Amino acid sequence: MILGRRIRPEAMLGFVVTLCVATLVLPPLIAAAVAGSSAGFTPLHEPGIVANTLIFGAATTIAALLLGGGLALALAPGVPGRAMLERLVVMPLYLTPLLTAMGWNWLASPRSGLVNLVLHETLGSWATINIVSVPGVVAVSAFAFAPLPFLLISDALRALDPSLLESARVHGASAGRVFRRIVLPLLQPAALAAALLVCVEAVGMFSVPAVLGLPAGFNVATTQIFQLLENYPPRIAEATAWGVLLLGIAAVLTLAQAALLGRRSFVTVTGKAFRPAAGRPRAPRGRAAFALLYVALAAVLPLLALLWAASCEFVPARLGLMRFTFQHFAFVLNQYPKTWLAAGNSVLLGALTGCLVCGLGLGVSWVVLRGRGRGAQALDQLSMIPLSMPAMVFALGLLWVYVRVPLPIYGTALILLIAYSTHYLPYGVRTTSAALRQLHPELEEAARVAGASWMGAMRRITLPLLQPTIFAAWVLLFIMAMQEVSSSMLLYTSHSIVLSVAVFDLWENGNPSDVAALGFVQLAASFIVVSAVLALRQRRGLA
Amino acid sequence: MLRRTLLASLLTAPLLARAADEAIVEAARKEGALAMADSAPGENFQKFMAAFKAKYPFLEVANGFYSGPTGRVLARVNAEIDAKRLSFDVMLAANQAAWIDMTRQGKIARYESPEYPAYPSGAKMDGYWAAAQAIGVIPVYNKNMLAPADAPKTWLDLLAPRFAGRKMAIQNAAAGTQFNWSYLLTQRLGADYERKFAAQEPVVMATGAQMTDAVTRGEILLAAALDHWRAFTPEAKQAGLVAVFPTEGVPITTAPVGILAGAPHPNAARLFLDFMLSEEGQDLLDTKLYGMYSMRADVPPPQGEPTLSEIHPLLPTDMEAYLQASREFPQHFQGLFH
Repeated sequence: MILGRRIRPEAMLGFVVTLCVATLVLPPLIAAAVAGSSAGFTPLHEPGIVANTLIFGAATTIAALLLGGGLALALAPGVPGRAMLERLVVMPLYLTPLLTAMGWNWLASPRSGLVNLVLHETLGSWATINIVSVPGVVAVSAFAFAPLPFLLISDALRALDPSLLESARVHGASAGRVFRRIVLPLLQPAALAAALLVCVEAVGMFSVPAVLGLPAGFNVATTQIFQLLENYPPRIAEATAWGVLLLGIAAVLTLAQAALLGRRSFVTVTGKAFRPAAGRPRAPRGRAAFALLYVALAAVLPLLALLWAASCEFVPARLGLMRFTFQHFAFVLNQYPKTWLAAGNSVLLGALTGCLVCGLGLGVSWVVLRGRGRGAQALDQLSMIPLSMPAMVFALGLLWVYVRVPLPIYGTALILLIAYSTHYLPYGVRTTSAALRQLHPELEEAARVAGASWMGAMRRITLPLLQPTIFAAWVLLFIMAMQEVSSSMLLYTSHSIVLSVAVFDLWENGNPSDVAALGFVQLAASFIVVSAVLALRQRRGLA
Repeated sequence: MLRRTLLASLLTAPLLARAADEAIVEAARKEGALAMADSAPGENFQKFMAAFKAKYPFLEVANGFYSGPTGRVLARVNAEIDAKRLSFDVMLAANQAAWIDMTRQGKIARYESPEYPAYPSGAKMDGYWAAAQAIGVIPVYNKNMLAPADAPKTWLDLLAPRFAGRKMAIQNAAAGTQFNWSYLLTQRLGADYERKFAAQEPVVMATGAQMTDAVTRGEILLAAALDHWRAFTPEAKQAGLVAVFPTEGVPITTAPVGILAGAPHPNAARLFLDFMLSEEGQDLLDTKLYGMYSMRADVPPPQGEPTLSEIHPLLPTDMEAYLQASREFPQHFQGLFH
């Protein structure tokens, strides 16, 4: 760049984005790594738990990918009620995994689960579904995570250029062959991105293994980290060493993903437009039934169990002992001092996290995919680091850093915003870059050739085309931030408490029926905000 | 009940203020605030804070308040101390080993509370802290699922074949409760006891609340190491939960309270400590709000519960050994129960 010339806005963007990401990601990472290195590598002493973690991660990823990918493919145009079903299948995202796990525990714990009481009554005591088991942990986790692959893969399906399919059919390929040779390869980036997300989220998840795994003697890295942190003195170094293990798993997966995708181009949306041709899918009713079954297992049944638990005086040993009451709802709405404060904080933090992460994520994707700087690849990797840090360990790093930084961040809601924005940054980057990757640069170049400035091209071409993706990403981020608990519980104060922490505190210390009732409040808060935003968007004709 | 307590404390406030050292009250008035880190569960603690606030209305008590499970409270407070940025004055945390350790590290402020003499040794460290809450760790069963005739009477009864094979539950090693149970029963019954108990294949659960739910529903027959007060809540009584106080004695887990060294409001902290450890404070906190035990002999047990001396409380005697065992507990537990 020649001195004295105006700094190009795209170079400026690259600089600002890199600075932001580095400031967010590096200090806590370094703090945590330093703390972890002083412990020696403890996971080596517990090979069983390492194996459990790997098995759990792999099994959950495969199950969630099959489930979510299957749903995305099943809900093709022409399936009855498709629009509604697409909304229903992402319902589990609104449910904190802790609540799903509690719901399933009430439904299918071996002796007293409602499903098992019915089975024992009708078929005899041999018929038992035991959710408090390794397959149970995997199933409930896969239910919870399946919407992620569903969203990513159905986005990719929507962006698939139908001309590719048509030309294959014209040249005589059967439907099955088109699927194998064209659809599946083109879905690879989305599927791999989904697999990476699910796997890292799964091995970093605490609640489902804690509720359904621990009683089955199934210990994983997160339950181990939790025990190490709740002990006195908190064994931060050892906990962080477990975090390093999770970091390693994620690094390996990221490298594998890069190697699999290689340098191939997945551009399918170019300057030429094709109208998608809608064919009639086979077995449309079977497809709808599959989606409904998933919704029933992943959301409706656990929700009903929660509703039942919230409306019983106590969750009884025999149905004859059951007494209905509103006392638990009354308690969380009127008496529990944290409910309303936490609801306000959660909604505000969720909305801000969504905005911040979408903005920063878009900046990162643009710099990585369109920028010409040498640092692009490094920025991409930097922005992916939070994905591989278990939130609990990351929060410890954050705490260490911001307790020492002489800025009014520690002990305020700002530290939560920083934690969420950093933790979910990879989601922002992945979703926006998946969309940007399919947008050929020739669109922007055409605008530039026609005389638009860089800013103009961004504002008039790129952003409007990405707008649906950004909006979907915002909703997803809002919902996920509403549920974040692992780092929140180390960083909140009585003023900045959030709903997820209030639910978790009740789960640790309170009455299970109250937890269920407060879970409904949490659910309602996410649901109301998202519905309001969707309605607003529809009214403005942008949907 | 609460209103009456508040009213009573409002009426007696001037009297008690006079009883406390006038100089401390004046200095606290200048400090104007109190920041409390507390591990007592739930909304009841707010009622206790309200009673304190009613006594010393010039103190702001809400802004610096932090509550969470014991491990998190300790992690939070220690992180602040290590960073030399302490915002808390007083800590209530249910892990006696941590208190011993932190006192040795100079993290607890010296203060001669006039209330200390009312506390027995084993539940205090004179000049530093005393146990504000005491909890028995006991077996609890559901009389709808287990006939009282089949219920255990002693700790040794838990080794009977009818409780073998995932019929009992304990908490995992993260719980201070579980450490006290393990350490004090080993002291009382020998190292063999825990090994035999482990051979019964108990289910390990993450929290006491989860264990209560499981025994209420009949998913397990017996919660073998539960906070005793959980069997005395109105819901627990209606559900049919019954507390067993084994004849060999009951391991006690305590929640000490003390002032942190370098507390930003040391005089407000003294007022708070004296109030919490006073007969009136203990009666409110333990008997009325939580259904827990006070270590003070002059405070009656919660309604419907036996007195502390009747249940033969087991407390640590050798603080050094206790501290050492607590450090080794996670590995010890892992070896036995996983």
